[in-house]
Parts: sequence; structure tokens; C-alpha cells
Amino acid sequence: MNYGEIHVLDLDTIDLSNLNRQFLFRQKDIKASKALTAVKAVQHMNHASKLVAHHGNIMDTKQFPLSFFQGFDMIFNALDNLEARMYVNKVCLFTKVPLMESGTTGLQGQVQPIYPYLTECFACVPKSTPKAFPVCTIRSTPSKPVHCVTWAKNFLFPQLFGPGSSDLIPTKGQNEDDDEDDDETKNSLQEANELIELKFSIVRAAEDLGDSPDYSFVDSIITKIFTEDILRLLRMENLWTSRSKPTPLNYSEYSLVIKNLEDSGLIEDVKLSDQKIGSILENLQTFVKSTIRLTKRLRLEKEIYFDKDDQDALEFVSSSSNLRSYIFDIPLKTEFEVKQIAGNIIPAVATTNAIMAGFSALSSIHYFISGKNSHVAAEASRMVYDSSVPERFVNTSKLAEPNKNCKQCSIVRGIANLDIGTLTLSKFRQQLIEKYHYEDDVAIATSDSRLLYDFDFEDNLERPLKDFIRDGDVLLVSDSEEILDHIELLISDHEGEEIRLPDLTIPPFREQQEEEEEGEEDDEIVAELGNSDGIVILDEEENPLKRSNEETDESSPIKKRKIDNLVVLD
Amino acid sequence: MTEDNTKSLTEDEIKLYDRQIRLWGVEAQGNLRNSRILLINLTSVGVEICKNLVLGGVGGITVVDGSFVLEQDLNVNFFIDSSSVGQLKVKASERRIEELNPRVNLVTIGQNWAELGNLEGFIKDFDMVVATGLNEDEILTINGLTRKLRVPFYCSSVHGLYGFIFADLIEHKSTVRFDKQSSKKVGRIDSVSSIISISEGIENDIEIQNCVIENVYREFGELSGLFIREKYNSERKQIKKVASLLPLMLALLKFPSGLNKRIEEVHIGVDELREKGLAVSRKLGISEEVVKRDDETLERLTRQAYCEYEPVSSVLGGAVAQDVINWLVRKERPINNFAVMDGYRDELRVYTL
Repeated sequence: MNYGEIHVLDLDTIDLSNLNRQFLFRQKDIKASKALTAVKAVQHMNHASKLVAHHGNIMDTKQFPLSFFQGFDMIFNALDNLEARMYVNKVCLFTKVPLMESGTTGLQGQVQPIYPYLTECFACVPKSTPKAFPVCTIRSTPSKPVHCVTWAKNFLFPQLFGPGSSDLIPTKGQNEDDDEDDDETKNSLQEANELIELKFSIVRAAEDLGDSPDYSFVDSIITKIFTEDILRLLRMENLWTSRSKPTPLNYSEYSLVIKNLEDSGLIEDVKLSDQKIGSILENLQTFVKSTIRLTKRLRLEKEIYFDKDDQDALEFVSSSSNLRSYIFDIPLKTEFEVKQIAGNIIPAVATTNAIMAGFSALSSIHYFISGKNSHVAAEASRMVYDSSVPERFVNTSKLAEPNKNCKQCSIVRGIANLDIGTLTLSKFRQQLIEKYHYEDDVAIATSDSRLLYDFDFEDNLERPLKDFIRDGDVLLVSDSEEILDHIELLISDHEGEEIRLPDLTIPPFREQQEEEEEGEEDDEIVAELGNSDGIVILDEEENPLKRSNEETDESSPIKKRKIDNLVVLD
Repeated sequence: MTEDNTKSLTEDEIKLYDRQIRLWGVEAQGNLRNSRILLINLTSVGVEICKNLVLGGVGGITVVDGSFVLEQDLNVNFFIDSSSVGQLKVKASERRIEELNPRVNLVTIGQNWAELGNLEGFIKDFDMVVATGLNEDEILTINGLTRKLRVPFYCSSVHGLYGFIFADLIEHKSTVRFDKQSSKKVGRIDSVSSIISISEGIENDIEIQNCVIENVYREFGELSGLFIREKYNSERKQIKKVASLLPLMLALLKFPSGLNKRIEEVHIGVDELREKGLAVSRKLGISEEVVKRDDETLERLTRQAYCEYEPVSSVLGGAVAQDVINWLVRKERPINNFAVMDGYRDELRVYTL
């Protein structure tokens, strides 16, 4: 399309599994920066665009301060996680730069042009976050393969090889049934203590594994987690009144075969096809093998974190979750399937990406042919998403108006230019009251809700803003008389300059809707959000076709951040 | 397809195709690997189709195109560069296609398809024929042969912000997954498709129905407006629901081909296209008002005819390749049978003609 200048931004490197769809990358580019490789790969093409690659995290305000974003006419989002999408959405709200938001998962996809404050923003429709499970389901009463995989990956693996898992130390009052609570808490604490013992045995074994290795520590692990812990669960009878009971593993049936394999030294050669569901013996063999290998690695690595591409870790999680599934009479899974669950892999194909990338690029033309008129472009642009009816290959709809209750775009915001090194909080407060005609006083807080000033907290008044914030941070200002609504000011640092506050029309005060944020977190293990690596990846749950009838739960924290591709246009 | 489907994929292949095997399964990926596709004409949409199928891991692709690279092709063909001008297009593109996925057996033939000797004998070795940039006469010739040989056929072209896809899969059965809530039943869906069996299951905690749907297709020469008339039976509905682009696109196919001409030399008259569009409307039984009320689209299409535009090629090339893959893996419901793209409205509507 020959746009003048295109900045390509991505923090990721190329992986083998990208090559089925990302046509700018080759086998030889594996491990290289995606952004740099993509820019190099299009050099031979005949275009007039100037291309610039940035290898970095879009949320890194040092590398990409607000002024970076302000230099563009349009931003294209092709991100794979909610946190970064929300971040860029917010940046576009501050800078008023149009945003082409896009994503795919498998054969589904969508493109949403966003013209800030004229059309629905990315945050206007609540997005569902990954599924979370109650801790007791994971620890005591699994009923699905995913529960066992979560247990193996988020609990057992870190306990034995990583820094441990505090997620799963239960707290009181989280069960539906309070009677179970004490028993189960005690039980879990005991289990946890015993696991610490096992961890010590692993560390000791790691040091001792020499010429005539003693693998008896693996037997102890198996007996504890697949037999003794299950027997202990069985003793809590109230757990099993409405559920079928688990069957502890009878390890003696298998121990001889395992022992022979260990003695002959063949145990490390065990390899099960990742496409086949293994028998119990095969899963035990894989469990023993991966435990030995991981234990040996501990000598050098100290701590091992689960990574779906770490074969030892995957085999450990796959075999231990299958053994647990067997005990709880849950269907077993292949290693390939476990990898998908544990790694939260989202399917991705070249075709859907081509279709949505095409629509995303097409959507941008309305803005440029209208002479950068957002109103005209917003009217002409369409949201595109996958269709479920044969009469349309894609669904198309007009852009919706902003949601009046949107936590992002219903807030009045602007950019304040000032010198954070010299401007005191006191002076800042005074300027705010003068500029926006607050009746009496204001309260000032940081975006993470740290109060800097209000009428009975004056300690900070004489300190410069740089003691509290950095360039690019956001400050929340509210009216102590509750006459005017809250505003957000993004602070842009300009050394030696006088303060310049933006012209804003602040609407009357509105009651803020409380988010039910704390409280639930302790009960839940949150499945990690996408670790996947497509050009454009969006969680299936975010699909607009489904969003209206989806439960939304914004309380779950997103633990992992990872950005894939962001393309920025000028 | 060859009968070698049982030959299992190697571990390397499973790793490479991981993200799509998670979509359609190992067996289906095996179907892909054992397929042979014929691609006629390496136009901009041809380039996109080629890219997608090669990345997806089809067994073999044969590209036939006798044209030479023009300056204007450089904008829409990322397999070539400025040193390719004047060379045979397929030969200039060959190296970069191969690099996309060395596992795919690539054959390039630098000849116009019409000049291939025994075309019928040539086509019969393929599982699927995909052609781009053809006009009506050419479509009729090739589709006639594919019908005779019972080889499925796709055809697509891009004209500026517009384009189309025609599909003739003859008869096709595929499995489509629905939420159980949609409570599908065995029997006729519409005049070209019916559910022939249903099996139920649970996937990700959702009750689902796997429906085997049978689709019957028509060849290009037998296209009629019957299905449109059934669905949109009044003039009012037709004006509302049938895009003028449908008759106009079919009308454009009646002009002599502008393929491989310098774009400045392609001239399509507004009045002539309107006349032909009205004739197509009459033949399909669509109200003439559909064409008469939309001069804007008519004028744009005459100006943009045979102009290749990358974003539209990307969408149509993605759609055709996905349909080809769906056909190979027997999943989803492929286009039946004529889809038109309107890049101004971001629409890709499918009409059963």
C-alpha cells in the first residue's frame, strides 16, 4: 500500500512453530528477532515505504514513551494478550491516534477499527479472562484432565523443581462447604510439608547422582503423591459423599519393571510417542525418566520453571497429570494434548491471518482517503469478524458508539506537560484548581491508587513530582466536593518548561462502580494467558460473536505478559 | 489424493505444523501432505493462494503461467523483485516459493495453460484445480474439463477493491461442529445442502453436534438465479439483499481478458458494463433496479477492473486457500458457489447461483 513509513514492533523471537503461517520467516531465522527479520524480509519487495524495526516490549515506557506513539498517524494492533491490547488502547485514548485492533484464533478472527471517543474502544466491551479453578478442585477433587494438568504444572512441578508454589497454599474460608475447611487445610499443610521433604530429597539426590546412582528417591515421590496423598484424601469422607472415590496407585505392581529399567540404565531412553495415550506403566516410566533428568539438571540450574518447550518438563507434567487422571478415573491425554493445555497454545493458520490482515489493512484506507478525518473514517469503517452462516464469508458491522460506562474511554483525560523535577505537588494542585475551576480542593493519586494528596494528607505537598512519578505515568485527579468527575492526566516531562495543562471539559461527578477485585484471587489458580506466537492471536473468548453471552470476570490477574507483533504505521 | 494417507507424519512435520494440527488433527494434516494442487496463473491472488497452501504443507503444487513480469507486478507479488521484470513470472518466483516450505513439491511451468497440449490428461493428475484471473470463456473451458474428470475447481480474481471466488466442488461431504443448542436435525438445509448424519459429543465442556453435511454444486455454465429467487423472492428484498456487485462482477467476466496487460491499456466502458450487468440480472432473474440504483459501484468497477490490490488479494487468497484446505480435510462448509468481495464495505457475501 506504500505507506510512507512503517515501524514494526515485536518483543519476540522466531520459533519453529511460527513457520506454518508467518511467511517472512525461514528455518534459518529461528531465534532471531521477529521485528528485525520481518523488516529485512520485505526489502526485496517493491515498495516506497520506509521500514523501521523495533525489538522490544510495547509497554516499556523507556523505549516507547508517549512521544513515540504521538509520531504516528495510525497504530495496528496484532497482539496476543489482553494486557498489551488494553495498554495500547489506553495509549490511543490519550493520544487520539486511530487504532486497527485485530486478532485470530484458529479459523476465527476479527478486525475492529477504533477511533478514540468516536467509536467503541477495546475496553468498551468487557473481555473475559482465562478460566480459573477453585484450589480445592485442583488439590483434592479433580474431575477433568485440565484439573490434573494444572495440578502437575502449577503445583507439583514448581514444588519439586522450582521455587515452590505459594498459589496453592490454601487460606481459610474458600470452600463452599465450611465443614470441610479445617480438615482440608490441615491436610494440605501436611502435604505441603511432606513435599518440602521430597524437595530436599531431590536436592540431595542431585548432589549424589554419580557412578552408581540411587534412584530410590523417585520411588518415594511416586508413593507419596500417587498413593499416600490419595489415601489421606480418602479419609476425608465428606469429600466423597457426592463424588466417586479415587483409587490410589498400587506402585508395587510396576516397581519391579521400573527397577530393572533403572538398573540397566535404560530408563533415560524411554520415549513415548506424543500422539499416543500411554499405559500406566508407560506413564510411570516417563515420570521416572523425566524426574531423574530434571533432578540431574538441578545441579546446574538451581531452579527450573515450567516451559512447554522444555521436553523434560513437558514429559514430567504430562506423565504426572495422566497418573493423577488414572487415579481419579479421568480420561488420559497424549503428550501433544497436554502440551496444548499446559502451554495454553492457541491454534493459528496462515489463511485466517491473511484474511484478517487484509481487512485490517483495508480498514485503514478510509482514514487516509478522507484526509485523516476521523469522523468520516469512523462512519465508513466496519468491524469484521468470522461468520457462522454460509451466506457471508465474514460478518461485517458498523462501528458502535462508545460505551458510556466504559472504564477507559468514558473518563476525561489529557496530557499534562510539565517539569517533574521542579514542579511541586503543591504547585501542581494549585494549577489544577485554577485551570479546571474546582470548587474547593482536589485529591491526587497515582494510577496504582497510591494517594499523593488530599485535604487531610498534606505531607507530600512540598516535594517535586519526580519523587512519585516518572515521565509517562498517569495521575488521577478527583474533586473533593464531588461536583466534577474524575480525570486522568498523563504526565509528559519537559525539563525547564512551565506547566501546560490540557483544555478539558469535565462532566459532572459520577459514582464510580466498584470493582470486585480482591478476595477472590486467593481461591484461584489463574491459567496463564497466551504464550503463543502467531502474528495475530486473540483468545477465543474475546470473539465478539460470543461476547454478549459470556460471563465476564475481570478480577483475575493476568500473570504473564508477552507481546507478539505490533505494527505501527506512519 | 493418493492412497498413502496412512503414512504417518514425521516428528519434525508435527512440530512444524503444530499450530494447525491443533486445529484439524494429524490425520487431516496427512491428507494435506498427500494432495496435489494445480494453480493456474500466478496473479496477485494466485500468489496469496500459493503462499498459504505451501505454508500449510500440501504435498505438491504445480504453477502454470506463461506471462512475463511487468513493472506493475512488483507491487503485488512478493516472490519477485525489480530484477525480475521481463522474466517468466513463474521462473522468477520459483526460488522464493520453494524457500517458504522446502517440503512441498513445487513444479513451475512457464506456459499459458491454453497452450498446454493435452489439458485433460494434464488436469486429471491433480486433486484440485485453482485458477485465477480467468474470464468467462476460460472458466467455462477449464470448469468443463474439471467436471468431466470430477476434479474440484476454484476460481478467483481481484479487481481493485473488488473481487470474486467461484467454487465447484461437484459433491462434497464435510463435518461441521455446532453447539448443541442450535439443535440441528438430519435433513435438508437448503436447496444445495443437507445434513446426512449427526453425532453428539462434548468438547471443552460444551455439548456439541458433529454434523456431516452434504453439499451439491453447479458448474459455471449452469449457474442460475434460482436460489436467489427462492431466498429473496420480491424486488424489494432483492434491492436490499443482493449487491449490484454480483451481476456486475459476472458481467465483467464477459469482457475480453485484461490479464497480463499493462493496466493503462485495460478499458472497460461504463455503459457496456451496465448493459451486460442488466443482461446478467435478467438471466438470473434479479431486478434490474439492483444495478440501476448503484452507479457508484459500476463506475468504480470499470475504473478498477484488472487492477490488482494487495489487501484484497490477501483476503481472497486466504479465503480460497482455507476453502481448499477445508475441502482436503473434510471440515467446515466451503463456499457454495459464488462469493463477491466489496473492499469498500468490508463484505464478502456468498451467493448460491
